[in-house]
Amino acid sequence: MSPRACRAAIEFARFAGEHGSTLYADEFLRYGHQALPGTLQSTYPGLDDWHGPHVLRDRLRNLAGAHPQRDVVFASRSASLMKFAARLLFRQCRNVLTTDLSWPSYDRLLNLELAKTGNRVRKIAILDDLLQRGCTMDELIDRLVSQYVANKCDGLFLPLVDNRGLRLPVAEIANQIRLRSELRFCVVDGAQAFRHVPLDLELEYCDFLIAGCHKWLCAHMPMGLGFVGRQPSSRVVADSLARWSRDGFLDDPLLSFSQELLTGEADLFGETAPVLPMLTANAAATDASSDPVCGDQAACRDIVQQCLTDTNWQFHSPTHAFQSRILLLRDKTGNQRSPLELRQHFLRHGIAVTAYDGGVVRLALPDQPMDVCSLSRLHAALNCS
Amino acid sequence: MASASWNFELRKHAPLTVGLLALAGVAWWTGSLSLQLAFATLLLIVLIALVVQLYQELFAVPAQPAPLETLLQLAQDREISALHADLAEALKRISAKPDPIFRRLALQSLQNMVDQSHRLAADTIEFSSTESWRVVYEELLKSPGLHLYRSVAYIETAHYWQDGPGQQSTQLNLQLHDAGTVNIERIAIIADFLWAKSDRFPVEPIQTWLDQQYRHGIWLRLVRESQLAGESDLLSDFGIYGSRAVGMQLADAAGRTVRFELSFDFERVKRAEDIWKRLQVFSTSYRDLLDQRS
Repeated sequence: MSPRACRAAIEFARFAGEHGSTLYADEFLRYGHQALPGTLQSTYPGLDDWHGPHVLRDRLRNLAGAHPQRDVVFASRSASLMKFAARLLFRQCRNVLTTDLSWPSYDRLLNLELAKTGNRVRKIAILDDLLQRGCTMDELIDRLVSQYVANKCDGLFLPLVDNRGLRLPVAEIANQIRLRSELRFCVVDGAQAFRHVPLDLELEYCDFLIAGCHKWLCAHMPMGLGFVGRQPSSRVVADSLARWSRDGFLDDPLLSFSQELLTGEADLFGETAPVLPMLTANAAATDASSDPVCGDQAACRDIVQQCLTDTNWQFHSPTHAFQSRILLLRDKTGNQRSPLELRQHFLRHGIAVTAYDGGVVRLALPDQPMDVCSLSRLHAALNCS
Repeated sequence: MASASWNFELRKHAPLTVGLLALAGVAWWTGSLSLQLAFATLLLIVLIALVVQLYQELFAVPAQPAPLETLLQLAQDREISALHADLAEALKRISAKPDPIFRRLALQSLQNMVDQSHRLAADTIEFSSTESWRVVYEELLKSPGLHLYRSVAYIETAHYWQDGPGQQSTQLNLQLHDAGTVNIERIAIIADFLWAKSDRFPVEPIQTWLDQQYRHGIWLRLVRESQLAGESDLLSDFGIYGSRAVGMQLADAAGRTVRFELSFDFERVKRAEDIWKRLQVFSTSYRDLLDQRS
């Protein structure tokens, strides 16, 4: 968790406990720390990063590299934004191309929305090509674009980085599609990408990008983000958001509350919204604004590679072009420990991993080279297993 | 009826029979015994053949007359059968009236009805000079199983769909598309005077009308009328309801419906789809026009 985010969470708990139902809270949320009386400002210095939702929006836009006039949508959960994006997709598209890299929950939401319409989804299997067969970047782009054209697709849903750390050249894929066919709406899953890899939103390759604050932004509190990627999509997104909030399709309380704060249009009968995620996201964004997105990935990977020497573990990675700061390691011995056992083993050495079937674990590399202590723990965990 | 047929058959074959008998009598008196025997045998065979033929003709099942067959088929459809009975009763009463001028006018009117009935038989329903077609339009758009509605709007006036009924139909489109009930796509053919080449978008209120649909997610494509100069068969205003029906609209200068023809003929639906595909080649998406502006 980012230090500022941690401080903001603690201070807000104190503030809410003492002033939660007062006018101070309302003014604080709308206009920021400077709207508080001087005494309160000095009582809660940990909240001084908060300058209102407009500044939060600007900070997140800057971090994402988005155009300064493109909208950013906040929600309690990124799943709410995926639900929104799925409906946006199927209002304009009849046949959406996806891959087997999609996050299963997002896939489910996409199919739920699909089932209500007479449209189609074309799913292309590329996971094995990337992990097992050493597919090159050009081969992948060509395959996806060809399948898109051959199946007469008109919409696209791809992850920028999937949960296994596979990084897709979505901008290039979208651009190639636009040269050969019609791309009506493009949604990108950036949940694993925001503050991990460049989002390249300035290239205007996608219409809507979904991200979150609790992963690489290190805000800890979950908050979904939706970035509008292209100017022609702005009005469709804004109008659809307003209509579907009014008719109850979108029932995310933070989404409604943040729109109230940003637009000034009050909903007298709205649900109580969790506001802490906005504060921690803002604080983490302030911390992140001084850090570049990509540290030296190659150096970090090399260090981990050294740790793997003389152990039962090996990289389970795609070719270099698709690599990110998420590493997959596989137990060479074929040891059939369950994912829970693997996770607990690494936790005992102070390392949080995600474990999968087949003896595969997922590590997220920091953006800076690991210190000696961390490396020792990692080496010990890999050696002991 | 049976005795009448019998008499008819007898009369038909009587001359032949009498002639044969006369010939037999002459031969009997003039021929030898063996000749007489042979002739008798031949005569017997001919008589047997005649009797068999007569029997087949008398008891063959006759084909039913066409009106009877029609009545029998109509009887299977209670509603149509009732209409047919009413119409027949009315025709009987008309037929009984002697006035020649009335008769002439009645025959003209009845001929129009016949022509209209033939169109109905060809799966086509016509609405003339009325906006009542919009009721059927709404019924079709809301019908179960309809997921896609493709519309071509031939816009020759700035008042296109700007009147009360037109705005209601627009709202219906927006509601159904927003709810995901029907996917709606539209190609707008716009007269050049409403969309000058120097302008990125058409004139108002057409531009607002189009933009409203775009913001609701309706996929729009635009084409200037002059771009279809060599493709005059593409200049029409129609809507394709799934693969079920196609509706063609003819409007006046004020944008009011002059005629609306709804056809459930699959071949006409296919032809409309061909026109749609060709129009896609000539048209530009509204999204791309917005992209140009940005």
